Amino acid sequence: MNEVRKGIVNDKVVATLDLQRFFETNQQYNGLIYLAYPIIRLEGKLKQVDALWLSEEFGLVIFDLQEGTETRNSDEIKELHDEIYIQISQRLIEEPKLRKERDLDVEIQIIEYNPSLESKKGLLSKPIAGHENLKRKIERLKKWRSPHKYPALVSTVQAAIQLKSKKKRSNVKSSNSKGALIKETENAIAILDNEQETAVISFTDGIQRIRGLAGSGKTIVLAFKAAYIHATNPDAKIAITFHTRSLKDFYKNLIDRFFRTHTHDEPDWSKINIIQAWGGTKSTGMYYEYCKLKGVNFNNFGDAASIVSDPKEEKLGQFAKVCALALKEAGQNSDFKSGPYDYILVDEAQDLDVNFLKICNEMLVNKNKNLIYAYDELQKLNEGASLPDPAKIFGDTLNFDDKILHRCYRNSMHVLTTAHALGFGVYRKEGLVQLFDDINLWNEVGYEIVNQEKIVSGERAVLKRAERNEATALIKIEANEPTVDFQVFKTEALQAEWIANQIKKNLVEDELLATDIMVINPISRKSFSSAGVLREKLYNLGIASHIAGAANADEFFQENSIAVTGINRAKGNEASMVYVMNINDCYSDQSLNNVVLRNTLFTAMTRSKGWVKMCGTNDGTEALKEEYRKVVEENYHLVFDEYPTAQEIKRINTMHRSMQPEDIKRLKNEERAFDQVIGILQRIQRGEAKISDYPDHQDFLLEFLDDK
Amino acid sequence: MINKVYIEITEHIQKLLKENLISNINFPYQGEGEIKWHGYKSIAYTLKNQDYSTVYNAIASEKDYNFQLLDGALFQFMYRFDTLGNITEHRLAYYPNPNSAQIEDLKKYIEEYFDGLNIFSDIFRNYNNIVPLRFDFSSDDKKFVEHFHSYSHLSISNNKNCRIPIVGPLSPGRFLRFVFSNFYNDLFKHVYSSNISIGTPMPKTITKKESEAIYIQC
Repeated sequence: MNEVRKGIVNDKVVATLDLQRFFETNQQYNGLIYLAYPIIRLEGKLKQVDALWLSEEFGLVIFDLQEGTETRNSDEIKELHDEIYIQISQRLIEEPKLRKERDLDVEIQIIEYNPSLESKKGLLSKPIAGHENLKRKIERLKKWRSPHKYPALVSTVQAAIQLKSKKKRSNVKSSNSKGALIKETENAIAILDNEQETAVISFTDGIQRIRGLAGSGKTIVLAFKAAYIHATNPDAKIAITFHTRSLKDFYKNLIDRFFRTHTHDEPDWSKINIIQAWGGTKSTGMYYEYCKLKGVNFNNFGDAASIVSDPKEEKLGQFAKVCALALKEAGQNSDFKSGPYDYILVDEAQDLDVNFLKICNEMLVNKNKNLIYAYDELQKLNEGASLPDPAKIFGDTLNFDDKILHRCYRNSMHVLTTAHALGFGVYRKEGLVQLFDDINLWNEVGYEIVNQEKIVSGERAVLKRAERNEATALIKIEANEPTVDFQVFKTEALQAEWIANQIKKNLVEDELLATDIMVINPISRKSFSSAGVLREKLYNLGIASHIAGAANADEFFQENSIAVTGINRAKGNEASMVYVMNINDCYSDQSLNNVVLRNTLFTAMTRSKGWVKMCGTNDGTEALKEEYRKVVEENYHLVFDEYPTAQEIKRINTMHRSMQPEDIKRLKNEERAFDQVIGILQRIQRGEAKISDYPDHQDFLLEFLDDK
Repeated sequence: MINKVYIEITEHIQKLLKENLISNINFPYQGEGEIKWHGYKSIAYTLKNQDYSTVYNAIASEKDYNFQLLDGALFQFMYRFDTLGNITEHRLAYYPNPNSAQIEDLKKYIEEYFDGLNIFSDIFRNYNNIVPLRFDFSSDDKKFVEHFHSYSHLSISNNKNCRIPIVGPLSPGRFLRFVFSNFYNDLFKHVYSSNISIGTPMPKTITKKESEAIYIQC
């Protein structure tokens, strides 16, 4: 079986298509076929390789494509082939896994192919013409004597070999401690899968949306994409923007590495801007730049709180408010200044809001052209709350490309299924808290229905994560210790003590590093003091801790110190061992605001790329543990006895929708006021009070009681 | 006395940790008649002729302190004792955060955590509160110059010649009380209920003549 991955084909379009058809119709040839990819340096310029075939059987086969009937000078051809051969082998030989002692251990062969020539009988005549001859030529290719090195070959060509950040783990002595397992995972060869790589190298001229679960590799895709754009288009001005500040270094690093691997050169950083979304006077941001460009008022976080949003608009977050205001002000300016960027890539769009995307669109030289944004499909679990379709955001969209990354590489199947179960409240005693309003999202997010053909409202639906979406690396981790664990404690002090002792065990017996661990307090306002109790206990055990992002907003983890964080900072970060404290704060048998509570639980759980310990006190924790128990009982299936109708889903989502704390307070007070009024009415009806006792409301009471 | 002082420092750190007011810590260290912190590098001394921003940023990035409060302020406790257990030297320093942009960031972070409790309101009220303080003590007679270099003195704003005489060396508790009650009043009220114990008793070292001019009494 083979897979074709196509880059931007600018040259030899017909020949490329022909070759593509050849491989697509000849599935007996295994491996990966790249078209117009990767990029190499030829005669001092960056050029795309016409086509490249990575095969376990034959190694690396380069296709030199030609069109038309002109024949080329044989010396020129030889020179060209030598050059390509040297460039490619130079790239490959850098990877120790592909060497045998000091030599390259990969078979590299070049085939000249021209589909427009008449098929000649002789095979040895170059170039090869026609599919039949091509097949025969392939049969005669040299066999690769080290086929076991195929994964390393793919990874090197993708420049993905360095994808996994390797921490020095000199502390690991045993072979099956948690630390040893993590070390193994980090050393495993990273390969971009089909969906990821297609998202990187495919292109449209317009807007591209990349969606996927948290942990599906979107950030890596964007980084590679930025480097790829820069390599193919060195004069273009590119911006990458995002919500989580600690991503800045990550991006710089990755873009640098990827670019260098492809071009053996440094990126021109004057063409690539890696900037956070908001920004300010001391460190720039996309919104800040927009304000400067359009000459509108810039608001920082402090100012945002005092902005009164348009009452007609929905309650917006702070960032959304300032963006909306800026857009409005800019719209009132008569002279329109177009933006400086040829390409803008936006990460974590779900945390950045629709208005910010509009701002980015206006920061482009050409609107609606070359805006790429990625977001987590499920940070907000129901579609109504996450980003709407590009058509709804940008108006008439030309060329809107949609990419979905189905595989989750971060979370084990157990963690993810449990997170979804809790996030939706599938097994919640009081019923569902929220659900997709679009049934198709299940599939997009990696689930399939197993008890019948498709999901039908009113009927039983049993959903499970599709096998093909599982990352195999996580199986050993599950075998070492169950990845999900719920702990109920009588008091917060006991909770803190247990966690502190567990962390000590993690650092000593389990051979984990402090930077492998994260402690999350989901509803910070309530549980901040428990974090303090925990930190004191850690201190007494000789373990330092810090509040993630406080000392340095761009750094989440610190060497030899345990990261303690609230949910907002945790987003965008991951750890092998995650402790979630006070999960009872996320449980409510009431309706109000449940969506926020459950989304928070979901985000907290999905930070873990290994194990997650859900901890809390009192009944709330017991209730959540019970929901988890049901997940296990159903063998990690999500079972809906009667899948709700669209209307029921709407009702559920509305009932549990997120509310601002002021509104929740107000509603609670109003409930109490209602109780009073009802009391009065009942007393009047029982004859214990008279309507005339309430002269101010006599008319109302007469009318009201009359209607009854 | 060395043990008492060490325990006093530890207790204050534990208390502040418990209230989650600390962003970074180093464990205090006791040995060879000295109390300081693990990872001590003496950066402030090396950079003593540089401008304050440079000094602060170097100390912060090298983690050369006992602890850092959430607003970025750094605290240092260093003590020396002779073989009889008497205090011979101390250096107690408070380095506030001069980076106003960082403080803006921290504001929103702290807002999320403290839900309206204005623990750092003094800092956030844009008072430009960048006044580093250093309480130095040395029992060394060779260094003593009446009035101009009293045994125990306070230096404000990293100014070389600023040496305000103090009645004697300070315990960790007295030092923290001074800083908190004057610069972190809301924190002081909330965490300590406006009361920090005097701590380890210290000798009086001010001379009679010095006490006739302005000095700080405890």
